[in-house]
Amino acid sequence: MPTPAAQTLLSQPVPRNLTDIALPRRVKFHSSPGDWRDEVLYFLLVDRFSDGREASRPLLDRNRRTAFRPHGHHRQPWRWDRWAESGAHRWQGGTLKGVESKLGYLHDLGITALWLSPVFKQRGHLNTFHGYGIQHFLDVDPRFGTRNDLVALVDAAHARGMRIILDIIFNHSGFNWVYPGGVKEPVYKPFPDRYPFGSWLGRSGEEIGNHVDEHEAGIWPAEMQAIDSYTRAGVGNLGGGSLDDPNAEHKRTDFFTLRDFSLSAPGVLDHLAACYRYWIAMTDCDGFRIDTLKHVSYEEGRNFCGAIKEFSANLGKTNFLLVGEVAGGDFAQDRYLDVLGRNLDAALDIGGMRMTLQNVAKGLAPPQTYFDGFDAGNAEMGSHRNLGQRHVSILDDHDHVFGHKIRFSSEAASEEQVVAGVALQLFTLGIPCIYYGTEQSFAGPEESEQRFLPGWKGGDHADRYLREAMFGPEHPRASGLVGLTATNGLDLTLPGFGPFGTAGAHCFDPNFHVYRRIATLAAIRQRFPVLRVGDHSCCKDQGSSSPGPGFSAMRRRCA
Amino acid sequence: MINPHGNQARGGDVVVDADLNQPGMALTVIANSMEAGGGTSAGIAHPVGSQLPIKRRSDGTAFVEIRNLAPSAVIVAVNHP
Repeated sequence: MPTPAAQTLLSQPVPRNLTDIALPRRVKFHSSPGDWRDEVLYFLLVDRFSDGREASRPLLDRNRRTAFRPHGHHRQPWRWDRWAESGAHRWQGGTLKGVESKLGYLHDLGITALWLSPVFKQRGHLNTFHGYGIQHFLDVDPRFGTRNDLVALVDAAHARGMRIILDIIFNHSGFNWVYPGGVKEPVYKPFPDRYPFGSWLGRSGEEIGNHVDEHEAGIWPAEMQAIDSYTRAGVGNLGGGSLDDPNAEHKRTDFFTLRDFSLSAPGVLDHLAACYRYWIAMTDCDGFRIDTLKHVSYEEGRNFCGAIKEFSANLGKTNFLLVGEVAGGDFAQDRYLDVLGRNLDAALDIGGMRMTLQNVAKGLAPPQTYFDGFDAGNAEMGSHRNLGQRHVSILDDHDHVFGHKIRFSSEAASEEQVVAGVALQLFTLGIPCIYYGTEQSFAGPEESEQRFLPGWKGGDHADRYLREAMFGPEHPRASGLVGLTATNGLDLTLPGFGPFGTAGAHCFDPNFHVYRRIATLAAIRQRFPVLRVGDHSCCKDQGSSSPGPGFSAMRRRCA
Repeated sequence: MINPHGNQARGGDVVVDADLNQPGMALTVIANSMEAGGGTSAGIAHPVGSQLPIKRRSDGTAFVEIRNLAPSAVIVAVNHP
């Protein structure tokens, strides 16, 4: 049952101004877990996970993949390049209702908390299916569903004892305006220089000048239409400058066409915090994954996180999870965790540790290399690995900031090896996070095809191969505004971006052996607290009984 | 214990805490990923429920013997099941 606060907020139209919002006080919300180390996270891209209509499609038969590569438009034979194009440039059709329909599948896998990719409204004419290009900070993208759908999903998850983590962005907005002359990505101007504002973009991406009045144009809420809310420094090096410099290039640059907020400008940080307070109050969610945290200054990050922590605690969510995406490596993660202190709970292990985890699981590196990352005396990896609460382990994700942009399974020796990787996550220090499709050993198309695919292991839109549509759509949505329509909104010229280079077959198989093995191990983790919170060390291999490298043994202990 | 090798069985002697694991005690295997996938325990090393006796070296080091762990297999053993 949605909270009274949700019912009140849902009864009102989508706000156009932050001043339209009256947030609840002293009402009951879902409480936080005592310790996030008790949870098993699952990260999914909403557009690529489920549309809730899998019953209308067959389960993919992995032994007959070619049978699920149908002829294309006008009876053309299956074309791999069209499949790859679909994955890079089209919304596939996943929805919040679809996610809700899979809660049982996830629960039985042993998942206790879902991290959803951003669900907020994107520009209708753009294909930002990943959700990181927000146009309306107080609305859900219609391709994902509605505010009601989101509230219902959180409510249904809570009813199963599961939790929902929303993915939020306060470093930048979507591609909602252009620089003077219609320029999209001008050369970076160092601090304190900046460009003049150009023009807001209308519903179709056309320039509309300085005035925004309709829901689909510019940016909302209205407070964010103040042009000084934006840094307007152009596009620079995402790694440029010192981590400690609040005006470093990597903190001021646009993210390509995504517009950097000037968080030091009066009111901007408050406005963004108010937007996300609205979502906590409405959805009763349990935490936030904070995007691009490295690209805001320590002070801005601390103030924003502090505001969210304070608000959620006042609702009874005293352990509302804030986990940061801090790119740039383990040192950067550690630095942000140390400086932000108790305002930031954890960081995603997307730096060198993710690759080390992969290598150890594949026997390509000694197990000690992974455990060294938890060593307080190891300056390279950082002292935060002493503390499991501050560390969310990642085997695969949607970006692979470091390393090739292919899934663990793609170059694994066997499907069973995926279980070994997930087991390392489940039984070492930290909060394990399983990426969608891992439990089905998503591995991309056949090896014989891979070298012909655009962007495979690097280059243009290489990350598409980390983002298969698990529900196996027959076709993606049509590009842009056409894809927003309920009927005739499909692009029939492209196949859906299904797993393993297929279309029209889903991959939700609870009988698949990897799914079952991970479920068994997750249940063991749940049953024995020592496996979640115990002291942790690598056991020495005192002589292998077989030639070649030995095996990995770890110990968790509670005295 | 994890065998990261993709297609060869592995094993070794795994050092355990000598204070918590006295001679005469044993660890009990509570999970073996090769069984969990719907397979049977027939013929697999260290099936669920099997015991790993605590052994000692002359220097006092305590250890358990793991042998023939299947490729990519994962087992979990505890001293208080």
